Amino acid sequence: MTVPVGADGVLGLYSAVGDAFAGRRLGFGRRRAALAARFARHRGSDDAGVTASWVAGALAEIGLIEVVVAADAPPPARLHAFADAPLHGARMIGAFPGLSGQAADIVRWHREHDDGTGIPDRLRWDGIPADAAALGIVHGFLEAIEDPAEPREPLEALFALAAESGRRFRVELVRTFRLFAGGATPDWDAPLVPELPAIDEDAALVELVARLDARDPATGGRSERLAAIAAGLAERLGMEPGESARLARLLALGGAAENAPHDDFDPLSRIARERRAGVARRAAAIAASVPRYAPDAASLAASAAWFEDGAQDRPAAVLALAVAADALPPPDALRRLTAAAGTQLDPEVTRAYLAGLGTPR
Amino acid sequence: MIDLPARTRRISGTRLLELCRERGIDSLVDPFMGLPMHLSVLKRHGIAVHGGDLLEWFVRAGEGLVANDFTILRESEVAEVVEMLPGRIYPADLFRAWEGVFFSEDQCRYLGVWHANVHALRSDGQTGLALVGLWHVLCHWLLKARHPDEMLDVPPSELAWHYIRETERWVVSNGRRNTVRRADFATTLGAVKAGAVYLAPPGRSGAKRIDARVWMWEAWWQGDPYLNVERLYRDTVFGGRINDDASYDRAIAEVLAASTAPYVIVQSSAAEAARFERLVRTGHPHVEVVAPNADETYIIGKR
Repeated sequence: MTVPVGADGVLGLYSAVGDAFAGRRLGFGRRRAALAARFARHRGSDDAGVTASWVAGALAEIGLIEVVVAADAPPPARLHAFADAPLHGARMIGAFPGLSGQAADIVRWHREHDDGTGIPDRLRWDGIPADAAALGIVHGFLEAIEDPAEPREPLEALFALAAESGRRFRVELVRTFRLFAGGATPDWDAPLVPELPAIDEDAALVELVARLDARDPATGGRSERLAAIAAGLAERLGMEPGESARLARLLALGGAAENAPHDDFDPLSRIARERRAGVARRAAAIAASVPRYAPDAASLAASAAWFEDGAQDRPAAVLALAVAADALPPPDALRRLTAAAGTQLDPEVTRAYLAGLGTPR
Repeated sequence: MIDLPARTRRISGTRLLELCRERGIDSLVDPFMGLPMHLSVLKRHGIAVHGGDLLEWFVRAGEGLVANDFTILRESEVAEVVEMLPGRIYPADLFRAWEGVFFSEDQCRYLGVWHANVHALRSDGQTGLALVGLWHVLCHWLLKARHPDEMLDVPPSELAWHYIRETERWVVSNGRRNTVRRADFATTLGAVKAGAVYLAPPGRSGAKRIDARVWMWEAWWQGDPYLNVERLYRDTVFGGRINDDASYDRAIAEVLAASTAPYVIVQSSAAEAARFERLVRTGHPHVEVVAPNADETYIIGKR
């Protein structure tokens, strides 16, 4: 069984964030995208339909980013909040310049059930678009294969689908899928990335991390502040400002989990060190799962380390300082950053930052 | 075997929600609501909703999902719906007419039991929820009759339990007054003031081509397996004489004229959009056509 990781960029990152919120293996969304696209082709979709199915498969669970519900919320409140996740996802895709409305509609209705008990609209029967119903089947199939409690072979997973035939899934589509994945298409699980429209990756990344930041009132708009600090600092240190700004934004990926702990703690406190390292590790893991951002993973993970722990790469040191400078209250910043230089923070980077503030050292 | 037609209209509550929010509409009335899942979705998002229909079971469903804010069924009450209760005398032959034609003997017996149990429920809200849940069972059985080898066998009471529980999960309050009524369009539109009227006009022969899963459930609710729902529509604006274009247009125009809401939203298809746009324009100087995909076209008129 192959686990495809397409050579995709920011859409892959969106997909991985969806995986993280859904508590899935990072890369699940891109596997779902490839399978949805192949199944669409098998059903006779044209190129536009195949691309829409791929995009919808990749981003099917990105709407979870907009669902903020307390861990102790009563079950009905949770149900109603999560019922809107496909709708949020559809809106995000609809707002993406270059992505088709068809992909947005597939995401909107891929969790509808054939018997009319799905979300968000409780559509039923052929009122559910066939492409959306097909993505629902693909999702259910892969969910059964990758079930952490009871992983199944593809053949067993097909039986799991059959059990929901006529209830969650349309009978005719389940029949077609069984033929497709049961032998008629030998390469059904091979990676596939169709022709995708050109996407402004930087703008898309800004949008993604802004949504992540907005989940917690304490972090709203933080990534852009970090990016500005990191870019200015990188320039003074002769580094590439754009790369430092991107790295600063990617750190927000650490908040991509349903109940991510607040990270509005004092960045120089030893007590909060483990939590900060956890955020950085989670951000690094998500970045590492996407080829375009994989080279950034090491710096993201290292950004939580302290200077006294050993050599720190320069981008990580810049990021560590940006996080500290942003979080410290202005009256304390100068004193505490100066005190932390050489122990928690890279002294050279700290000097450059303080010099930028016009403070003589 | 009964025909289950493949032409279900897509009535999306979330799509309507977006259309409403973009225009600041905070209340909506649908005088031909059908099964009011779309109203339930709108209600959940804070829109005050009102609906009307001529089929009683749609209205009962609305009492469970639209008008009802709090009532659900306790475990014991679900049990009292799905199982035969000791000491109660059931009309065992009530749905015998369907036996061997649409359903098995066992299924017909359950239909009779459920009919009696649901009619004995204490509140409109509970009745509506149980009725929608059990309707899913009827749909399941009819589908299984078409695909006997491709769907699991599930005991009737287990299926009923599952679907009633599934249905009542969507009971929610929006802090607004939401209503449903069994009435024709003029009564419904005259009874409530709303920011918008939503219409998904029935087809030209809508009453004659009504889905079996819809008319059978009205027959079940009324306890009359021979019930003919066509008669309910015969004297309405979309009754007998709308097969020609002019009559159909007159019927639509009559409904639109009865609306006093600032907005009217007519859901149509790409093929019929021009016709409805012309009709909506008569009473609404500002008309907008929103077509998110090939299957959904919304003609939105503003006074």
